[in-house]
Amino acid sequence: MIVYILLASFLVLCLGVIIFNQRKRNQKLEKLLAYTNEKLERLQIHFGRFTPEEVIEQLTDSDRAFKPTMRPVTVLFADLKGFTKMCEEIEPSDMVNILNGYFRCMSKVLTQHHGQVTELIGDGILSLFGALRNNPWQVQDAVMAALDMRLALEEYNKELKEKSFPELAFGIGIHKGKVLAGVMGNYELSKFGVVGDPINVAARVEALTREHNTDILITEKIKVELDNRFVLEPMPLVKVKGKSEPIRTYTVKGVLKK
Amino acid sequence: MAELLNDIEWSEPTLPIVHDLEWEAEVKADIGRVMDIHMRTSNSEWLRKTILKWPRYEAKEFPRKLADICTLVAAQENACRYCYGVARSWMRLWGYSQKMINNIERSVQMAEMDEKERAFIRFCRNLSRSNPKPPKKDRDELIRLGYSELAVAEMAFLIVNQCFVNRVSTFLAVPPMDDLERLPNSFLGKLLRPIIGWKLRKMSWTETRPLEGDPESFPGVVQKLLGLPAARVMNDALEGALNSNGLSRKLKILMFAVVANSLDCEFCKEETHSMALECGFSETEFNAALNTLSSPHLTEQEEKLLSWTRETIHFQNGPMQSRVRELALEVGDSMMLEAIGVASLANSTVRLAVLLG
Repeated sequence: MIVYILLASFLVLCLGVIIFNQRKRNQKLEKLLAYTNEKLERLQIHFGRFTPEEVIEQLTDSDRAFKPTMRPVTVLFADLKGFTKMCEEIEPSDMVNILNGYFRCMSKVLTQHHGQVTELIGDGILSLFGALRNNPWQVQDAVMAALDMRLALEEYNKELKEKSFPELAFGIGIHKGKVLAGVMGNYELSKFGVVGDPINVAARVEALTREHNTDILITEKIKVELDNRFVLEPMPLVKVKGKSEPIRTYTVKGVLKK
Repeated sequence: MAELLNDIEWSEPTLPIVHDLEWEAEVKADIGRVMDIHMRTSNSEWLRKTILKWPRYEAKEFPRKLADICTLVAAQENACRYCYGVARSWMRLWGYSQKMINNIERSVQMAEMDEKERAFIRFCRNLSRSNPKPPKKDRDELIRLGYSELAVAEMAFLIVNQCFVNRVSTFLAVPPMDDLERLPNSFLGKLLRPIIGWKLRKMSWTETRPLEGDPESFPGVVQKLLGLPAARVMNDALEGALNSNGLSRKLKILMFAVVANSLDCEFCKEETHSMALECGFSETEFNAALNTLSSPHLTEQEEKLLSWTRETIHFQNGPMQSRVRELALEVGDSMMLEAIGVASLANSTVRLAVLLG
């Protein structure tokens, strides 16, 4: 009888130890899971600075890659004038601060107008409208963004002047067309990007701002989608690299209020 | 990325409370308590009624547990601090464990649920998010798993119903209900949980009046809900919004059209197009208004509200609440309130139509 009682007690004890260990293990696993979750959330937040949030969401929430697809987008390319010369005259650490401030101001305006800053190339900004979401107003958004960038730069220049830094001047080129947008690259290294002729055209049009001595230039494709509130002035036909025909551009003077 | 309760950006209310004693008595008779949101919406007849009824809609075609989960998931996806806090507290008072709520919020350990529940939660998240578009394939998946078409239609309605309430609450920045949020963890809350939970369940509401008239005459999206109490509920809200005097009918139709175009809903694009022609727009005028978000038929204030409608499709709370506050100063509180209601309803209607249309 005593043997049975001892055996039963031993079995109960063993069971208790197993349950206790299992609970401890579960608690450990739950802690690990919570820690991993927190880490993943932090990673998503930080990663958002390098890649559009929509892309991250699609990549983390499903096993579908953000496959490149052709879509009509409006491309805005902005570049600082005289930047190389300025770099020679200003301390690199000051130049980085000036540039960071400029990017901050411009990105804010672009985001407000539904633009998505896709790339910062040196002192250049490549922004797309309608690349990630359907946007029937992408042309109007891009031009309004450019006009507000003009105002934002004026404000930023006041700040620079107070700090005795030279003022900045930019050129903006806007064009519309179909581009391939999505995550590109190989397994080791890939990034969200866009490829297509409209990107090159927008960059060429931006370069024409120096020739035409203006700050915002749009192409014919943009002009036809704007209504008569936008005050435009045609520029002479110019031949640009990579295009067989000369292209017509328009400078954007402003927008009329109702 | 869905945020957790304490990470949600939330400001002070954007529009003031307006006391309407008659309305407050009606609310009290119905649910026993007048909440902040009922007073902030009291200036719009149709909106206040919709806000009182919609969150309490009781689903007929699918289990209550899924409806409860839907409320939480939609509020989290839409980052509505007010609704998220309420949904969390209600779930706790209804007896759901904190662990289960945490798991749903973090989309983890879904293995504890069955395949149908997991598919439903995915459906809720994707439809609430609607980025880039409401997911038709998720709807087909639910039907494949054995839910009837009517059940899926009701699920979709319940989600967009929550999205409507989430949007209105977010745009108004309704203050979170701190007392309710504290209740589940308080001694009294723990002690009286079954009774409080039962009382809360008793607040549920469903439409019992049938939708009368020629089915062909109802808006397309209502036709898709025929056979459900939701048909009448949706029809009443749409009629109320379109017939109210707070904003011009032309502006309201354009607001619906803007959302339809943004979410690329062919079904709603056609419907708003016909409605626009019926109410006095010419074909050219309507297209121009949509392309430029301005029209000779609209005042400057109305154009501002039309442009703002675009912002209501995908938004961040902080900038949106600041924008509503600025706009309210320009257009006035009552016009802003009406616009909040119409834009929220347009978002819900179009999302539903993309899915069921």
